[in-house]
Amino acid sequence: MSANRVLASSRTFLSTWIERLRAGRKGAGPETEGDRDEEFYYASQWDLMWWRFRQHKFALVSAALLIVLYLVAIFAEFIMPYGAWDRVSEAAQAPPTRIHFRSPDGALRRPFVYRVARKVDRATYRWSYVESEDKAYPIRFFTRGRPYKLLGLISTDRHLFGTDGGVGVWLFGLDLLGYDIFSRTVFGARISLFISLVGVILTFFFGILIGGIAGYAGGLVDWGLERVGELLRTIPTLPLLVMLSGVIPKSWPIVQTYFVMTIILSFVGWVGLARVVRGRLLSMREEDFALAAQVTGCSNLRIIFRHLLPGFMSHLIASLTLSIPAMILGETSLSYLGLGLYRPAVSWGVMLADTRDIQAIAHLPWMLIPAVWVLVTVLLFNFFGDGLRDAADPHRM
Amino acid sequence: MDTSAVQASQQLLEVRDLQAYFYLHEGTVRAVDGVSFDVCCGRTLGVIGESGCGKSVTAQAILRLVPEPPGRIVGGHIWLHPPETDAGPGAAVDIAALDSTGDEIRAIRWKEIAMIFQEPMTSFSPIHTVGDQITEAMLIHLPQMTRQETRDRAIELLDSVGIPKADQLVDAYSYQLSGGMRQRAMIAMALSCGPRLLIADEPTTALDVTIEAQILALLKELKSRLQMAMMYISHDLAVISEVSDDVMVMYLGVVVETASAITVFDRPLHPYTQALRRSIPTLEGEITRLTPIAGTLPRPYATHAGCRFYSRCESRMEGECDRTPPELIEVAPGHKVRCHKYVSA
Amino acid sequence: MLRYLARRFVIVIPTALAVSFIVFVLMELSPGNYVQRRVENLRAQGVKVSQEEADRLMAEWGLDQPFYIRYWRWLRNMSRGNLGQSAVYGRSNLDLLKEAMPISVTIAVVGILISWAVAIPVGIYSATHQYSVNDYLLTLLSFFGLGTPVFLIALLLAWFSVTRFGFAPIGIIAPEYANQPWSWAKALNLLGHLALPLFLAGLTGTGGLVRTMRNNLLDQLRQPYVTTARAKGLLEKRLLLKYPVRMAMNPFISALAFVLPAIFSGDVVLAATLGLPTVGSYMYTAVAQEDPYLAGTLLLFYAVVVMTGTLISDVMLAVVDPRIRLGEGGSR
Repeated sequence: MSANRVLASSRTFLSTWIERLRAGRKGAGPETEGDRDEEFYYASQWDLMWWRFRQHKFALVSAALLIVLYLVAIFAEFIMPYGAWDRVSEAAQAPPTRIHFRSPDGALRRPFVYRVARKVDRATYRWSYVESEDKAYPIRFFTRGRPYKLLGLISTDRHLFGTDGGVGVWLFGLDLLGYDIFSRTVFGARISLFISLVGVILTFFFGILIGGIAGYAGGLVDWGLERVGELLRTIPTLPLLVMLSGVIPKSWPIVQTYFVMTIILSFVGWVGLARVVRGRLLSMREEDFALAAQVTGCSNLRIIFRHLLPGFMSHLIASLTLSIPAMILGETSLSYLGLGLYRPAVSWGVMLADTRDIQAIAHLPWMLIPAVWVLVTVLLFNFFGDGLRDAADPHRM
Repeated sequence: MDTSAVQASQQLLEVRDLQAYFYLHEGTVRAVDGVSFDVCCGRTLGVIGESGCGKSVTAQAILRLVPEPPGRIVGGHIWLHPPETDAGPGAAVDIAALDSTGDEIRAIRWKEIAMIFQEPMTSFSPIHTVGDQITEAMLIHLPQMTRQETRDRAIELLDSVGIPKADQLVDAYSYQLSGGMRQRAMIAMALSCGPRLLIADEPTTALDVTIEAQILALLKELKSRLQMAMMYISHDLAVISEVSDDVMVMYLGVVVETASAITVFDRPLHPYTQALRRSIPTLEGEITRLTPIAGTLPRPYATHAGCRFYSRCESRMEGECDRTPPELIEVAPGHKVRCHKYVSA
Repeated sequence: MLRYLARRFVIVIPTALAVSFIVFVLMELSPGNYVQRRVENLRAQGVKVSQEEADRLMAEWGLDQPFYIRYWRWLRNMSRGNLGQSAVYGRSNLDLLKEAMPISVTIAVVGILISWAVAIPVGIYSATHQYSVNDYLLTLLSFFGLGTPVFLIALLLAWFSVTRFGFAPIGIIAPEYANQPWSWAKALNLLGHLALPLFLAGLTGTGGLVRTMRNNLLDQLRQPYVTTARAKGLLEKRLLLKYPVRMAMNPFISALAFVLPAIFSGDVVLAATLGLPTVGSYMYTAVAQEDPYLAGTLLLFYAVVVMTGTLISDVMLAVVDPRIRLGEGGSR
């Protein structure tokens, strides 16, 4: 093609695009007999989805809260008052620090805490912690603490809150060995929240690729996919994950283990997604608009990506969102069992692994707090994903 | 038409100012907004109108099948007159006032008034035999019959509607029957308790034309044989004119014209009826274009200041038709129209 | 119907073979060789094991043969009831399986029954009272049940039980009763220990099943045949149970194929949390201690039970739905 032709065709392409963008929002509809002037507003698929999604109050709130959670995970070091591996052995197993709002004489003051000292019960050998009310340490914001790199770029040592004088503000208490549970929960959120995202992206690509081929090409690939899907549904997920994690040798470094685990987790998801993609493609392939595209000479690949895929992209996204909780739970369960990540890595599952002996931690209930966070995150994703799914397809076609 | 038969027939169903609204979260739909008509014993009332005019809702309201949230019968009466006995006419029952889940309406359903629906496939349960569904109503309403008797009667009914091998097909499932046979089976089911009124809600719309003709013939034959009153709902004027004695034309929840079938077909007065009449393509003469009715139905939540047909009427009179809604007036014996054109000074 | 069932039964065989193949591959990929372990253990105990002896042991166990021969021999051994030895426990895998199986299967079956007993009435109520406050609450609850991982609830409830009732729901029975003859006290104790796992197993399925029943029933309630039945004058309750509920039962029954794997997933973590001697407990110990053959055998067990359950649900479906029984035909 000559340069002029290329230029001309790209110019027309651009101009039609710009035209469409401009006209797409507000345009006058065709005048028919007896019709009064009506203006048409062309709403894209995404507009429609957003409008329907907005009606789902739960889903909206969940979405907002999830954004907050992810922000917390990203800015973890800022929000954590202490390091994930900072140990305070002399206060190990301390309960969550009580924050006081009233001074001993009853007046309202800015929040403050007391230093705690350990007491050993002679009979049971249990530790308990008593506040020494001699000095009040107010909670300050943007305090100086352990230095770190915000977002890996900016060196700073400011933390969201803390006290002067190094008195512990342990919002969630300390664990068996003296690590701050709040800090570790915030830090562990990173792994739990992001491993699932990475897994979901992998699932997305594999799922579309394989499902697309199976759905569009049919034949052997399709049959194979069906069978694989059936097989995987016969094997319960967690036992399968357990077995798969057994494949990873113990000797591997944690980072490697992390990546392989992500791949394992996404593996559980992609077959399901591939089947959804295949199912949709199969049913849409027969529709008239696909036939029309074929008749006008579009290549198969173009038909798949330009014509068919946008039709169910919204469902895909909804399905993906709903598969995130499974991944979070997968990682948490495996680490809880000791078969996934382990110390010194910090994830909610690793933290919960310490709670395996219920009787030992019976008087340390704050160690179960990460469990609550897993629950909350999973619920939020479920509500959010459900809202997305309803918005994408309210009639469940 | 046999005028003595007309005079002799008495009222079976008397509907006065029926109003049924649907309260949706996008707005209120006034599906039936002040509809009055009579159905007389042994006669067929045809109800014609476009989709959305409220004809199906009217039929559902008669048997209190309108889903109560979001719908509701807001006003009006549906008087069902009992059969005349030697003791004289009994007291009429106002169906609109009954409890929609109560015993009285359930005693009326199927026994006094039965209904056949548009989609025979989905109106039968796929997991129960046809026979089971026919005998079910009999077992409820005719407790003096034994199971065996109801089964025999079911076979008889299937046979009487023209289903071959009725004794075998009574144990078939609905998906094993063809479309025409399913509709016949539905008619058999409707007749099982000997109702005095049969409501047919677009029974042939989902069937192809040859089957439609057969079903219509069957209905006409049953009507004359059983002396049953019928209310036939359709959007097809040609079908209505073939099957009905009297016709009621509905538009957007109100009756715009009622008359005998012949009159509506030959001398329609309301602009809407006239437009409907004109839109039927005929085999005679040369047609270059079809004549549809101009415009489209307004939104269902819209309220109207004047006549509801104003936006599509060819004879509309600005200043009058868009200000005041016309009343239903009797312009000739048995012929009522709702149009400002016919309001004499 | 026979043809349908025969088809279902026939498919099981290649499926089982395929699963066994996958399991075998996983077993082979995992580090942990039975003979190596034995040799290491012996050497650690001070016993001298020469290289020839080690090689001989390898040959004896057929571990020096190529992949497909080992696979074949494994299958053949299994058909004869020889599931191999566990390096971790030092006993035959079959014995271990026989020991753990009753508990896992009991929990699974009772769990499924509980979830059905709860989900059906709750789902029906929810669908018939759509948009009511109760429906909203129940939907929320089933969401919780659906989304919440069983072991987290197990953790929280176990902690609650320990602190509030002083009752540690650990293990299947208190140690003092372990070897005693049966008595009311022992039975009560057993029940006490089983209560939590049974409750959790029931919970696993309930959330999803309630939603399945509710959504499917809502779809069916919209169908014309329900209006027909109402028009005939049936009582609402009778109508409900005879028509839409029966139709909605279909997907409910096929849901069995999903509930069972989910319960087994819970089996593994419950074993860790509550110390129950289930199949799952042996399995994760096996993986933790690098005994892939035991782990693989147990995984296969799970898969086989799921396949059986699926088959049972298929049979039930054929019984309940005449369209499947008689073959969805066209018109006569």
